[in-house]
Amino acid sequence: MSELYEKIIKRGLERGLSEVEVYVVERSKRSFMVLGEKISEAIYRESIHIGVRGALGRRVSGVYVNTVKFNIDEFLDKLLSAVKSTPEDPYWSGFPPLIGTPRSVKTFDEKIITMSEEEYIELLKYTMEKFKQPALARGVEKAIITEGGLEAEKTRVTVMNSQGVERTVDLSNLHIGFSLSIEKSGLQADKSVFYSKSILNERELEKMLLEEGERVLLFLGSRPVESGVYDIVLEPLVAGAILMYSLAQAFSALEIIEGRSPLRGREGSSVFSDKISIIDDPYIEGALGTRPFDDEGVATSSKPVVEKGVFKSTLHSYYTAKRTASTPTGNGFRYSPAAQPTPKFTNLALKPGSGYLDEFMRNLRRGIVVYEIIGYWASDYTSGNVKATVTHGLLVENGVVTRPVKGVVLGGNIYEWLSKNIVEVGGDVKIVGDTATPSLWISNVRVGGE
Amino acid sequence: MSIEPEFISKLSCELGVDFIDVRVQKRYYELIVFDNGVIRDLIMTTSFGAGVRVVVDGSTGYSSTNTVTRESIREAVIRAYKVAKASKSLSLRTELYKRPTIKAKISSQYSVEPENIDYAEKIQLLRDMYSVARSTQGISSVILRFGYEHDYRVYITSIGDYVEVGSRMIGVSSTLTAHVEGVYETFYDQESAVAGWEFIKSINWDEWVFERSKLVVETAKSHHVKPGKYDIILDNDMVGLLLHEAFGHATEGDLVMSGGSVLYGRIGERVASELVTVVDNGVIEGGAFVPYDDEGTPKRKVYTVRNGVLTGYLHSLSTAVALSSEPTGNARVMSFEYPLLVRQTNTYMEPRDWSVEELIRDTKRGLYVKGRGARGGEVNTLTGAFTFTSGPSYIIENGELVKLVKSVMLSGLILETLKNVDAVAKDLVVKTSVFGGCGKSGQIVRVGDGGPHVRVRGFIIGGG
Repeated sequence: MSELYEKIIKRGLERGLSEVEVYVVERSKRSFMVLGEKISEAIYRESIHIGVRGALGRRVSGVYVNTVKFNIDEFLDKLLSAVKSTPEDPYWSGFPPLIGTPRSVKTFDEKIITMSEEEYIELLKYTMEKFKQPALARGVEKAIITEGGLEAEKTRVTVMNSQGVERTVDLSNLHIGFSLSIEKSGLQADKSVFYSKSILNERELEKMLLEEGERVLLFLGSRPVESGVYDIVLEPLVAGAILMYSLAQAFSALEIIEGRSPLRGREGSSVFSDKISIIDDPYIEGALGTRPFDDEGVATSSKPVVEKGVFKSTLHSYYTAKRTASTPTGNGFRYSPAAQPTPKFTNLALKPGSGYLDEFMRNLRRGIVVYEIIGYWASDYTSGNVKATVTHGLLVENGVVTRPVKGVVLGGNIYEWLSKNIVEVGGDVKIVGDTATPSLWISNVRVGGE
Repeated sequence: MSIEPEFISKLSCELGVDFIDVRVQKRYYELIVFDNGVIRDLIMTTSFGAGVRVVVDGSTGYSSTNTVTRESIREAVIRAYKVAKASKSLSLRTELYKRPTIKAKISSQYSVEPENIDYAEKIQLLRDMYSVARSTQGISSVILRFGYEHDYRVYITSIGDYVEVGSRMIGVSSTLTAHVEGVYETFYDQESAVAGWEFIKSINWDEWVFERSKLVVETAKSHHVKPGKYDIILDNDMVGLLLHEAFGHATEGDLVMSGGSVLYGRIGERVASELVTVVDNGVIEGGAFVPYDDEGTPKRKVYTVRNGVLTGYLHSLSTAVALSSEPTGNARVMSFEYPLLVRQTNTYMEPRDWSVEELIRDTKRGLYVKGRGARGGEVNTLTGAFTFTSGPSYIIENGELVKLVKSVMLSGLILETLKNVDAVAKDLVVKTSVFGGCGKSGQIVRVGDGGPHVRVRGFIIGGG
């Protein structure tokens, strides 16, 4: 296939473009969607997504197509027309040359993508049974997996450009997720589980299913609590989700340059409590953001972003690095194959402290332990404001769970939470998707409720 | 195109399957992102392909291809057939509602083809808006987007259906950031329509972005509202969000039949105040354009709640059978590569008789919750908890708007919240967006939502 990409670059240069870049995602995916413990749809699909960006001096644009059967000249006509209409970007300094030596890192698990259909179905049955097992063992009247599914995906990412970059990486992803509904003594409860990794670890998967399955019993008869100020303990997955949406993008050099980050001008200064250390870590085994190089072909590296509360380093794409006379950090990623890469975390890792969720719970005088939230994506990294609604929480008074909680709104600011309000950072790191975070105990959080 | 029902029917006989359908799609999407005076992205996206579904012995398999020829469709059908057969041991038995065969062709209305307008003109529009926004004191960042989508879909089945639907959507959005006295505030808004370039010409965009620039600067200086329970008046945008999250998702037939919705088995029960009537309608002014769903079923106007009583769910051909109902035209896919899900189209509340002024005047203490700048919502249909955010809003005291406050997050419970509606206005407005839509199981589809202004007593508010 690379001959096609080379041809696009060569032809683009012949047609008058000063630089050309090709970015390709080839994907094959098996999915089994579940409704009421049965497979409602079994899906096999293969796709290709080709993005081509071209520059004429400082004018840059992109085109995207989802097939290999296209007329290269017609495709380039569209690109040239767009490039010529685009005003010059005064900060444009070209596509990157080869930068760094990508480290050998495991991003691909053969096991995930070579199972037979029957083996996937066995895995699906096994995971549903394990998730239900604890509730059934406690004699619930009804336990059913209402929805969910399994997806196994192989992705090949290729980036090539006229500066000599030519890099390819194979990635595997396995997503297993379910919602479990139970009834006991006339009360109803539910719980979700989500396993999202690039490498399948059966023991870890089973542990997660049993642990989350056990928790469903905690939420029978949940209700909102009174409005007020509470201590909250965030389960690792919840902590990761909140950090991703209220904070992560504030470290992007583009957001800082363009006046959309409260971290502007604060590099080298203390922004959080010394309990907080955050790493951009592209080498975490099993995490979905693990990569040897970024979407521009620049080698990735593990780096402290915050060390003991001090803002240490900014995330750069090639564009932002050149614009600010800095070094590219291998954090250029794109939302579409033909889009300009912008700086993002590979994996966001919050360095663990000590202690764990149950221990924090026992030490809570009055607070809410939060296991699941919705709407957290409405949090805002520009201001640091946190918004999330708790669907699964426990009210704890003097170290004892007094009742389950749902339907209350958490509010605050992540910069306050991680500086003056942080009580403890747990040692119980969980990896889900592209976050690796422990439990967090935060004091004085505004809670909207009854 | 060389794919006709006869070809699909022949394939069906050849393989001995119950049913085959094919969704062919050609989509063109144009996006221009103007970030602080620089074109960050100018992207033209073209995608083309076909998705197939095969039902064999009640088991359902899907596959897709990005070349649409008889040979590639045949190969995709065989792949779908194989995965359907392989999953039979754990498969949900699919039975499809037998509706009359449909042959139809329809396209949304437009006057001026946006693809014929020069990029330079589109960029100039954003450049002018940028100048206006940037000159507003306190604005630290301006991102403007132009979006245009032409989505053409053909639905073909082994039993003779052939339905062609074309839709054009266009719009402009802004993400404005203010930095005032050390405080950052961001505000997103957009204006879209099912239309052509004439929609862009119908709006004074300089005025549009100026109003929003002033608002975000004012909001940066405002305070958070104290968390707690409030009497609220929701504006047109917010009512749409509320209904979409609080009721819409829980009425989706696939969630209902799996036991994943708190509304399961509640047809005929009171779930809202008698003032509340909720509609799902495929074609309405201001909304998304869904005259037929992705199973070729004509989208009909569905009352999910009528005068406070739950009266129906949204259905595909399979959920209609599973729940002993009729298809409503709500089976949709994001693109040809994806499987069908039951989705909303345009969700809104039917208007009543209050004027907006009367509603505000009649409210002693509360919050006027505005949707401009809202970031959407989410629901857990099992737990019944839902949430959604607002834009900058206003405190009401003694029937008057007295103070601007920052955006809030609202939370409620499906079976309780709408019982507290005590007044519904007469100003129905429905809106859609070319920049986003509703997400479910990894698929985003274009939707519309709205309603008249509505007052709800005792709503939980917090966030920020």
